[in-house]
Amino acid sequence: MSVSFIKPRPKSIFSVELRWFFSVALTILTMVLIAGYLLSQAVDQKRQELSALQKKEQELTKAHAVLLAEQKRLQALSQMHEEIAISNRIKKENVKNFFDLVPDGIVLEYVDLKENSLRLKGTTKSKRYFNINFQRALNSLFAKSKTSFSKKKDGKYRFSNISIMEVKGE
Amino acid sequence: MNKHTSFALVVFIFLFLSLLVFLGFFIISPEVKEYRMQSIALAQQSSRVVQKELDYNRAYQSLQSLQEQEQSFDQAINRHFKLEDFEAYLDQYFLSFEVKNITTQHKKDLKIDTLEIRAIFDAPVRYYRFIDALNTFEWVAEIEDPQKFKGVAVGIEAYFTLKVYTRTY
Repeated sequence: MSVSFIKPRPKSIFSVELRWFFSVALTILTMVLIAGYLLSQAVDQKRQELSALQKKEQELTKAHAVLLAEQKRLQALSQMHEEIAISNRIKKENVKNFFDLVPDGIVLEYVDLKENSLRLKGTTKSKRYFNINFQRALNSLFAKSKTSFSKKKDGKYRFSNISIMEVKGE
Repeated sequence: MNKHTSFALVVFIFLFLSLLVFLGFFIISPEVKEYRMQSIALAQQSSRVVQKELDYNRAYQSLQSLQEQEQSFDQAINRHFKLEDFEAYLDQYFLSFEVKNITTQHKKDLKIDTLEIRAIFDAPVRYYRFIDALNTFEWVAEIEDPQKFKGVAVGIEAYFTLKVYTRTY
């Protein structure tokens, strides 16, 4: 009969190799699950960043639209400003040019300055003086210019002139 | 290691590898794919936002310069029209004047007051200065044809129409 000197130990159903294998497998499995979790967290973070950027884009689009509307309003205002300023300047130039045109020997009593026509009444020392010094200038500025004269008691002439500018399409 | 243990080990290795493939295929791979898609979308969105910011900044600068340029006109058109203040203004340019037939009409968001003015001035230069001053006026005003002039004892009597524009809200 053989005798053993070591104390008998309970035998595990898992061998050492199997235990090693399970440890490694468990570690790998845990790592895979942790990687999955971390990836999921990273995806969530990206989603949040994307959502924040989308919100920012929407806000920018809204703010940009407000800016563009204000810009449009100001552009319309700017155009109106320019049109009015030009119109006033043209009106002043028209009056100024007309008064500069009147020679010294002619006294104006009435001037009606419209966009396309001019009516004048006044006195001149002679018909010849009027025709040479004023009528020629009126003829060059207007398409039609007609003057009628009447003699005054003091020898001067009263004139009445109508000048019409050529209007496109007429 | 006996025969049964070896067989069990092989079975476990097979099952473990299957589980790994399963997890990789159903958990890791979709997450990685989703992560990549989100990264691409984020990069695209980021470039869109940068472009929008650039556009916004450009529009803002353009608006600021326009605001500076049109500040006085903007104030003038939003200023409530007062005939008393206007008459005080006319007083600087004319010897005497009369404002009559004030009519008001509304066009879109604008109120247009049309004034017929009869004014006497001593020299044409006064009238030119008045029209020049209209462009830097406290209100937005436009002179209208016809402009009539008549010689009077003290100078020239002018009849003209003035349109004053005010913005309504």
